[in-house]
Amino acid sequence: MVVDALKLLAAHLRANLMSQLEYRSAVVMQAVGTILEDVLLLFFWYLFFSRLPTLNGWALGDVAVLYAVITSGFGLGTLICGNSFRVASLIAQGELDYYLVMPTPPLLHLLVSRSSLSAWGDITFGLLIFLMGGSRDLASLGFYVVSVVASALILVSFAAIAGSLAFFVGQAETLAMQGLSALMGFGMYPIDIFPIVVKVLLLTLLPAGLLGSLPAQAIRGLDFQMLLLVMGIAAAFALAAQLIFRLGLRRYESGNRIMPRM
Amino acid sequence: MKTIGTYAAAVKASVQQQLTYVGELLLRNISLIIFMGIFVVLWNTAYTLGQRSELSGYRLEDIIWYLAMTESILMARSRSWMRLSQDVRSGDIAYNLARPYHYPLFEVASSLGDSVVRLVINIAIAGGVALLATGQVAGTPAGWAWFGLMALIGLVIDALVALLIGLAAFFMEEVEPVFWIYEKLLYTLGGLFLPLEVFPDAVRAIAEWLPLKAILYLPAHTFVKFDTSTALSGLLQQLIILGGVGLLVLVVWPFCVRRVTIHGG
Repeated sequence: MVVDALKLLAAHLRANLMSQLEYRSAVVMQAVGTILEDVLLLFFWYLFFSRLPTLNGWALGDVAVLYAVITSGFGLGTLICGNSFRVASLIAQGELDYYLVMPTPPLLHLLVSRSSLSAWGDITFGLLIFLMGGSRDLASLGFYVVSVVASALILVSFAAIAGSLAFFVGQAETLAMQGLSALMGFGMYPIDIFPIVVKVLLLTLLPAGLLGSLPAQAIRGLDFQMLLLVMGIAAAFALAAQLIFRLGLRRYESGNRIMPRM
Repeated sequence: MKTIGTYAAAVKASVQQQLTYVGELLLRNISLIIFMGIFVVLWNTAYTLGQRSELSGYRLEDIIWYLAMTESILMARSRSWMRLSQDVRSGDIAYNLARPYHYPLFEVASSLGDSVVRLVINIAIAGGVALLATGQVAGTPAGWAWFGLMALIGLVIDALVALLIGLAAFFMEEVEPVFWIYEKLLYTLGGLFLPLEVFPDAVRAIAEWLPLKAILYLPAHTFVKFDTSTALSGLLQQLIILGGVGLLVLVVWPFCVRRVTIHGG
């Protein structure tokens, strides 16, 4: 079953990449735009730390590692599962039918059916910032790669869960987008600036702290236990996404929309 | 007068359209509350840990109210560039050219109508968060009035820049990345998160020369540090920048129109 899922993922990734190669200039423009956008976001922290050298134990180098993980994780997630942010609208518009009649896991198939053009920019930026940040030894690089995969898995799973709300409340696009916006919004800031109650929330229901902050701490301290914790929670979120989607499918009412797929 | 009436009607129609979906507007403001919350915590931590009473002349309360005002303007901006670039790529712009108005001016008027409603709601929400965080309402009645005027001028300048980005679709395949970069420049050098006085000297010198400061920084700075001379100087800078960007739109527009090819049908 896992092998079949990986085959499906690889086949779609290949097809999506070939499709992107048809629009090379668009991919380059989007990637360059994304890199500049990420640079400017990190520039805020340069301005901030130029006046206040540390923030509850976080310095510019630590925030750079946080950005390296969260941007690459976002890039990886949206490169492979480019439909993550569209789950709610696909459900609301009755477009699940296509995936339901296929002999493949519907949630996975739905998620991997699209790829983001700007994802390359986020992945490149994250990797460059990580390498420029000084952590170039093999162990740190290994921690970074695992962290990026876990971050991507958490993002995609959370997006699938938020999108699946459409099964239960109907029009959930705005709600899902607000949830994702909160996830990314909180995720871009060091978790240690928040009070304890918010911290708990950011490590559980709204797992923004797991997208960048905790992985950054694991990488900086080569803390294997923390990395394991992040991986464990990422796996739990993936499982929860699968379960909630299945539960929601029981409530799904097919649409009568006829559309060509090319 | 008839011409002005056309654009006034565009503003009115957009206002009415926004008021129809006020519930949706309020839901969209959840992210405004979240960002305000994050920055209130961030600045509280920074001021407390750094044992500072002020940073480049800004007390904690000043910086939180400054942020409330910049965020209110930022989230009130219309995304007309998206519609415009789609119209250019799909060719639908040809229909708009045939209508009895100046298309860029009409777009700016529509944007302003959208933005006015959002601005009022945003100020109420962001101001509410700032009030909760600081325990006080900042500004003087005159400061509020000047902020209202300068925020509207800032939004018109932003709508003109957005229009230029949308019109870039005549020359470029993808204009979305241009908008992203513009937006992030606004976040940083435009003074969304930090007033320009807090920047290192070299960066501040660059930011002072950029027109970006007219959209967020000048209105919010005037509100927080209000006195008549600051307000007049800020307004004058805004009007110069508005004139410059407006002139650029008027110069670029005829070149764009020449690139439209109408095949009939």
